[in-house]
Amino acid sequence: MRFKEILATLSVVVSLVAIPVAVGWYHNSYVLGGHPEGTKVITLSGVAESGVWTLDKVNGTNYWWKDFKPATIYLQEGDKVVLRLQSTDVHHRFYAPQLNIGPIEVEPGYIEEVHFEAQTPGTYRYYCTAICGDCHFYMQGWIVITAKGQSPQEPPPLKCVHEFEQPPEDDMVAWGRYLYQKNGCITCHGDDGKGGIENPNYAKEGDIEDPSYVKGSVPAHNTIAESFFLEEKEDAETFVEWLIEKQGEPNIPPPDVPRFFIVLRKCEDAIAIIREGKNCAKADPNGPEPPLQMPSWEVRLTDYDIDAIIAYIITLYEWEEEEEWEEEE
Amino acid sequence: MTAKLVILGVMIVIVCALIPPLVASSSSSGGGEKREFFIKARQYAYDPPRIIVNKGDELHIRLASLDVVHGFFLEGHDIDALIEPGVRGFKLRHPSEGKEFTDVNEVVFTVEHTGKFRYRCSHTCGTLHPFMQGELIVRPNYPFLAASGGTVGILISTLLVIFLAGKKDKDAMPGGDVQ
Amino acid sequence: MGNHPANSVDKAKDAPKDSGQVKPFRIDLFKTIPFLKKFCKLRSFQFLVIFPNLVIFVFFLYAGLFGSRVGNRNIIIIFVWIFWWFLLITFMVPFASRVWCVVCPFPFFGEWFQRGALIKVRSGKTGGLRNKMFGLNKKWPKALSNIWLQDIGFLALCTFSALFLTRPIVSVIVLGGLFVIATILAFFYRQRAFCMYVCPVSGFQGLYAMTSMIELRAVDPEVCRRECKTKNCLTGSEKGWACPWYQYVGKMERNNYCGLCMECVKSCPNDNISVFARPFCGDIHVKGYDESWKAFIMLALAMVYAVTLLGPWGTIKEWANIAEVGNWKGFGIYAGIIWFTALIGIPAVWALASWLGKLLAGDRSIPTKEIFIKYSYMLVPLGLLAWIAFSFPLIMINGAYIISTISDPLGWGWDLFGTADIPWRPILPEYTIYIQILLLLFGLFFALKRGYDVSLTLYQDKSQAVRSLIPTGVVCAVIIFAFLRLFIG
Repeated sequence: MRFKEILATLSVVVSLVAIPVAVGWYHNSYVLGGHPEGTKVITLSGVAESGVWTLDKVNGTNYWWKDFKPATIYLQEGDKVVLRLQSTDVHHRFYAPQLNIGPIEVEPGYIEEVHFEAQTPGTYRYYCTAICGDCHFYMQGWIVITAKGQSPQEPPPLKCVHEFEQPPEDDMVAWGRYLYQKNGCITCHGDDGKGGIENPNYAKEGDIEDPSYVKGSVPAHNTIAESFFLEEKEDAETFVEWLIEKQGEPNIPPPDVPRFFIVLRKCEDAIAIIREGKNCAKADPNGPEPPLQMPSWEVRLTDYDIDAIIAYIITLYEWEEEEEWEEEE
Repeated sequence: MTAKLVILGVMIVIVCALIPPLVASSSSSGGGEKREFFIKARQYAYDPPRIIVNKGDELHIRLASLDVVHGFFLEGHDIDALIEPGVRGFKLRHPSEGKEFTDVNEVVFTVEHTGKFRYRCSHTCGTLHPFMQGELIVRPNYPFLAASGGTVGILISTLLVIFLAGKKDKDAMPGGDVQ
Repeated sequence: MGNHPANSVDKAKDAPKDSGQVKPFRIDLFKTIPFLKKFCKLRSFQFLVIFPNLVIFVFFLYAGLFGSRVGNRNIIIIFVWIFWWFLLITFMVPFASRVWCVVCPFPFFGEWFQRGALIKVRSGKTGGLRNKMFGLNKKWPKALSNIWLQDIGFLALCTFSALFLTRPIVSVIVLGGLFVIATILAFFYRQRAFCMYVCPVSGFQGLYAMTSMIELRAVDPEVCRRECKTKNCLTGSEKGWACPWYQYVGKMERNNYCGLCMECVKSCPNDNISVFARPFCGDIHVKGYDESWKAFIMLALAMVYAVTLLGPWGTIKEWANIAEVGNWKGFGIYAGIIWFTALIGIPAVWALASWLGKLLAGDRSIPTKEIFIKYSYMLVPLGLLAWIAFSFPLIMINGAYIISTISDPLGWGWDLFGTADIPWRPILPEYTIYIQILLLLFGLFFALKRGYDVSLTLYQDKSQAVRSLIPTGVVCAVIIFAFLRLFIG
């Protein structure tokens, strides 16, 4: 009986210690260690709440309070790398077009492994390309490959901004601005629609042959007033006012704007792009899919929301008599 | 309790279970119509949560997601879809036919079986994902009607049978004494 | 009709020819399966069945803390709330009573401390017991010597079900909390005060164990009455520990508070204790408001879950899922509805039905209170079957996760058995409703049938008994209809 008692006590004590040890040992030596010698194993966890792919360990003990840092992955030329991609919440997609990685679907709770070799030194952006929440468009980061013996550059990380002041919904232009920021439009189209955000292998449709076009970046649309043929500031103001009035009574007469029906037509085209989204054409037809595509907002924004965004974008045009515009605002 | 009473009880339940479906089938009309639905998925429900159609209707269903990637698995109809936000149309497959998804704008099918069929999220979409579901109700809902009738039937027959059985025991008693 | 001892007196008077049925039908399992008796008599029995389970649960806790936060890919969620829950409510409780309490690891450390041993017995004196036990060994406060704490505890816990059902870390808090509370209470109070009066899982198991097809009883209670002066089952001996659940088997006639730990089998000097197989719903006496309310609470929760977890309504899910959405007002409404339905709504309807039953029976000598408490037994088979009907879709829909998480328990990319990547696929989901229909109708039938057995303990006259049963019977039918509407309609 005494022997049994000791045996039982020992087995309890040993098993309590053995469980975590066994789990760690199996994971490190068989799962992580299952790769050839010298391989860099990097685990990236997608966190929708913070809008990041992070190198931090993410689990139930920290997910609910920690502000995870976006990962900058530093590699040396010639490194053999295994990326272990996992999602801690919703579906994400990992894409690093210039390195020819992905797009890889990352379903929550599963690990996706990607093998690649770091070759040309440079700073490459990776993205999440499956919409995963309010911070989705911020979910980007860098893979930095340096030549041997050189110290890496440190590119600035992109942080998701959660809090925007919410204006009253009936202040149409302000509401449009709010939606523009909150929905992350600025991450691709730039602050105030200045554009110029890099989008590898992107070509504006139809413009592929056009040498004047700067390939590889998202177009600006703070010039939309001009492309609407709203050449005078007053015309733009009148048109925006008409847009605002139209919300209450759809059948109001057209405003006193030259070539109104062309303006309207252009406006409708712009609305259609926001509603339906647009896939971009490739600058190099054999190259990777451009990571930044215009998504369809048809179910996530109301007609009013879209009109508000249009109204806001029109006001972004930098008129020559800037001061007056500001007074108006 | 005698066998007769048991049979009586079972008969009552069966009759009660049959009446509502029979009434419904004789009075039901409609069916064969084209019905269009646009179902929007969000964490953790579908809008509309419930679709009510008639047997024989042709359903045209479009799907969209309001927040993150969702699935749409319609039980009993061999339909599984993957819905990505910001994308028009969705990916569809018929699980019995294969694993590959194809891009479509809508899924069209005719409802042939009556009852309640749940559509649930088939792609992990967050904490309450396993409970994200909606309902396709094909009327006349025979299983429900029969079960409701059966409920009334069991209530009546159980109480009646135990009442009759008790009465029988009581009636039998004086007779037993005489013997 | 009615072959239970409860109405044996009545039966014997009415129909002497049935006197053979006065003794309830049961099979002595220790006699038919000698191995079972041998196993239960082992000193190491408790340790042998609890220890593997302890290892498993410690692993679950580890997985909950450090594994994937995605619930359906973490073993703690899938194995505890899907697999264990299904087994518990569908098989363990209705077929094997409190068999879970036999293997439950939560009181393990506390009991180890109290006994100072895992296997052997200590003779000596502690209070009125014949064993030496460590700890303060205080008596549990009289005012709390009922299952009200369990009633309220379970209700409170289940108000947050949407959180612990889906988040491994919250599951860790709940299960780890049970370990901690059970251990701390064991320092202060005698034996298994935690299991008896506090554990939220214990309360409904006790209630629904009344339906169980297994019972632990004295083989011949007469032997206990005549020959046994020492009551070793209750007080212990050098062969077995005193009953951790404070039961005296000689007078024990219900399953509610017997944890089946088999200590009494070892300590009984007359070898007079055995485990019996018996028909469904063998115990029919609900005693006290605490047990009635347990039945109401369980029924209300089954209904709330059917709406929240199996219903299509997103707003209610948002209310319940408070940690993610943060809508405290909505959560307040949600919690308010649960608590009101469970503690006031259903009991009020039941009281009304009991009062009507009294009027219909036309016998004023029996107080409504007695009808109210005794007839609440009808809600035991009804509630149990409703819970099973609720749990069936859970296992049919999420069964595939069981197979995949066993290969990758922490969601870390393991593949122990080659099943980690098995895709989610519901098992015959379109046929679930037919299983549910059968379960619910079976529950209603048993509620009425056993309700009649209960009514015979109150009324001599059989037609009076039936009449008194009509209103509560109708309430049961309405409840079943409500479940049908939610599941199938």
